[in-house]
Amino acid sequence: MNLAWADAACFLPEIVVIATAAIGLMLERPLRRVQSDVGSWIALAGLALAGVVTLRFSPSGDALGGIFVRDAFTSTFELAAIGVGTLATLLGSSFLRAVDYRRTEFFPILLLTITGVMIAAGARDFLLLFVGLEILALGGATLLGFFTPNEKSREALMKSFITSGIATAFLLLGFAFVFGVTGSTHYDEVATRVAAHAGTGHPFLELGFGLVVVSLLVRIMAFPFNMYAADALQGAPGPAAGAFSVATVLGGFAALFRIFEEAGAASCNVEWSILLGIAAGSTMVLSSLYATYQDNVKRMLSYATLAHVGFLLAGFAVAYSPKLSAAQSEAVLSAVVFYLLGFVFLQAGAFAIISAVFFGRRFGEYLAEFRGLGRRCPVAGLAYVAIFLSLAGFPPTFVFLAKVQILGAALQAEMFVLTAAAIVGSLIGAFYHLRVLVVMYFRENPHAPGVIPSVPLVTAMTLVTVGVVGIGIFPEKALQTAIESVRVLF
Amino acid sequence: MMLTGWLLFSLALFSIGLYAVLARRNLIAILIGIELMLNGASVNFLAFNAYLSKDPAVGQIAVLFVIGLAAAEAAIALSIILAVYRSRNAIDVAGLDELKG
Repeated sequence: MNLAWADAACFLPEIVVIATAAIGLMLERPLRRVQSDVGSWIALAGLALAGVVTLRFSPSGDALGGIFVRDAFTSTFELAAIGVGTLATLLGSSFLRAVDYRRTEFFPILLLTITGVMIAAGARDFLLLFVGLEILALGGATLLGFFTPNEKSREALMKSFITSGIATAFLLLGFAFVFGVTGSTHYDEVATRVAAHAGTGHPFLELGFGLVVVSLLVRIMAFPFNMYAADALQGAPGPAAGAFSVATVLGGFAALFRIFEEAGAASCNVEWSILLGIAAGSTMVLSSLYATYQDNVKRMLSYATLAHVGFLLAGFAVAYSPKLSAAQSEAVLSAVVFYLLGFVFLQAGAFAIISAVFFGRRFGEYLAEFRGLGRRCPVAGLAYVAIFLSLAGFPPTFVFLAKVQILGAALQAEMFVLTAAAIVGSLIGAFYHLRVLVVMYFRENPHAPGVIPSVPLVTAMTLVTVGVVGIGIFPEKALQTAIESVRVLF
Repeated sequence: MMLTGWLLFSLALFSIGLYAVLARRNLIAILIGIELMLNGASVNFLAFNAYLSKDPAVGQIAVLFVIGLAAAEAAIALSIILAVYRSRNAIDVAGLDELKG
């Protein structure tokens, strides 16, 4: 195995993003003196270049002796990560304008975090996956605690950091057990050896994959780890919380997809559909219930995030039900990827809402502070309506489409309890999202400030609105992308 | 039989670390607990590597990665602990409970 240009070409999008982050870090010092948005422009330019490279110039194929693969799946997740990066950069730029112009290191940290997602998406070796997830976790933790003068932000950082440290150790122990049985960390060899044990099973194998899955459940913030996640997302600055939530969910799901389909975890002697189904159902129902009695919209949206994660995980659990045929599993996994693609816009939108009203020292996040916002800012109000209706999963938004597909598959798999949990969770979700809209349009508060009129914020909100509405009305392209990216795994 | 001994040793390290993370209130002790868990997993990797693996390099490379990661994690954790200490003059988790509900 020698490092050739062909390998480097496979990593081109990652290299572009990391190089941009390096430039941003080098310029951080001089940029402190000039009060401008140059930091965010550099990040945006780098992300745009990375997007173009992913779409046009990067070849498919294996790199570094097959530990990294660039295929439709990797590219889809990379584009999603770049999308998160772009939206979070815009939000972060508007956030820094309001809070402290000089903290441009936000953008390099953000870029490094999404690099973690990009590496985790293409990793076909436990060690590379470990590195990717760790870049993601460390970068994400730093993002959450980014604005440390704020006491809550520091607490968010501490909580997520301890949980993520435990998750890392579990992941590693799981890898060690799987490595012990299979003698390799490469997915192909692992899958071959797992298949050899398929009939009888091997206790270390089940323990190992179990630990890995538990660790990835922490990454995607599923039950029983959703409580820390709500704290972390509430305490962090809005743009950082949005970026972290999408990045960690994308990275975690990319790892789950590849480990189940390519490393053979699916053919292990474990009832995955039941275990994951329990985690998914509990995540959905508990998060939705907690969300209903929050008077802090940011915390409510954090729980809403977790409810979406529960639904995504439910789709994943259903796919591994023994009652579904391979084609049906593939279809429901495509629905999950489709949901994830929209989730990027959804989360950016949710946390844009949280970063949009500024009270001089802090951002508006209590329900009472949203009074009359819809009438004060009619145009922004439309964006709010689009985002909240998508979050609540009303037709014709993409969330509705994805949920219908997942529920249909769950019924075919005869997982009735999970279906019921999903429907109950969604109904509760509709209630608490609509409550905010009611407050926005039917309560008055003449003295409250409106949405910050900053260009990056408006751009981000426009992109998000176009995104959620666009994917809902014209889902064909996104669905096609999702189907193609899942197909390469089978 | 040696393998079993090493596995038990790694499991003991891992469990002690987990206990420290869950039971201790001091942030430094929690950090040490996380490091112990990582080391337990590393010993596990090395034991399997020494007794079962075809390719003796893989487990060692894994452990090198873990050492690098542990250093990065300690750097970030210590900076958080410093920030917490500066604002509250204490480094236990008892006061970090503002976010709930």
